[in-house]
Amino acid sequence: MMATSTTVLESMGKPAAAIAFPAERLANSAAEFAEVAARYRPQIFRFLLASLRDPDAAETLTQDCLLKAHRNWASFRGESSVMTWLLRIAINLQKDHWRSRRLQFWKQTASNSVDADDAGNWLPSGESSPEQQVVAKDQVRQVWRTVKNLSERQRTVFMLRHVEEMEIHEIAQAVGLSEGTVKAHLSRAMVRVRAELGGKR
Amino acid sequence: MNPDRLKEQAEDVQVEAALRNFRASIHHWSEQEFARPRAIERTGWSRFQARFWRMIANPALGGTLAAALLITSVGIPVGIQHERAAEAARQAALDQQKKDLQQHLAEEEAKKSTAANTVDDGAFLDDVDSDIARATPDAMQPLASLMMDGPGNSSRR
Repeated sequence: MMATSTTVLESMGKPAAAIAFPAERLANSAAEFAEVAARYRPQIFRFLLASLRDPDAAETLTQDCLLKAHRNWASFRGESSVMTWLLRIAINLQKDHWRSRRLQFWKQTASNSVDADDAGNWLPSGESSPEQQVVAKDQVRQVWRTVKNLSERQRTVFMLRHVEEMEIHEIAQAVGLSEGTVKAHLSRAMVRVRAELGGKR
Repeated sequence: MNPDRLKEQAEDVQVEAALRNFRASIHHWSEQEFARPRAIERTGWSRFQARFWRMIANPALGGTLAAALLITSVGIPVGIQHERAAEAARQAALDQQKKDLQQHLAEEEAKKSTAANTVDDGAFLDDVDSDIARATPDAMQPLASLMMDGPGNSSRR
């Protein structure tokens, strides 16, 4: 009997995001896609939420991303991991979203975008002391402030690297850039983060 | 150890901690938001579609629309067909009328032509008669008188 995608991933003992689905297993199967969607949906949502800071827009774009992925599921050849492929779709949708927002600048568009300072409040309480919590929240706010002012591409690369913890080559595949360009964007973003956090480099 | 190097290491630790907290913050926020029930944002078009299908789902309105659709889809082609048939019949009647008129005119023409021929023939025979007629000699006069007075006599001499 043919193993499901999950079984394949689990049998390889690696994180799902790092594994490419074998092409022969990627038949145009609704059941398979449903499993993929259920597995990766939270991650896509998280990336879009971090990029847009708007939960409603992130949810809508997540739905759009999965819908688009479902339509193109048959054409997915497994050359990259499913997650990289899905993130590439999400990045394109996010670009379209920003573009349409820019075009609609004259409209009073309802936005639920969370302010960068408020976004820092979502720190889990954990086991740290109240003082450590305060310091941590302050750091998170500083990072958010920097990320907010990064260019769209730098922000995307930064989020993929430091939030989704993707490797450089995966980021390059997802954003459609060379590894060198990705490293350059990441480096510039890190310089600004360090500067915001008080570093000199 | 070099103090600058120590400072750099301290900064690295600080940056790493900040990025770790940043990541944890986003993961936590995302989990909270993901679990929260939310209405999907609808575009104007999808709102219109949803409203349209809700309207269709109403039995009375749905029935009316179905009937309207049936009438439109069946009535219009039937009407067009009927119109075409009537037009064809009208054209056929006109053709027939034209044909009848032409036939009538032809008959009239033929009649006129026949009458004209008849008149001409009579005159022609009269001319011939006049050309070949001779005065009856005196000796034959009594016989000619008899012929003139006799039954079935014509005007010819």
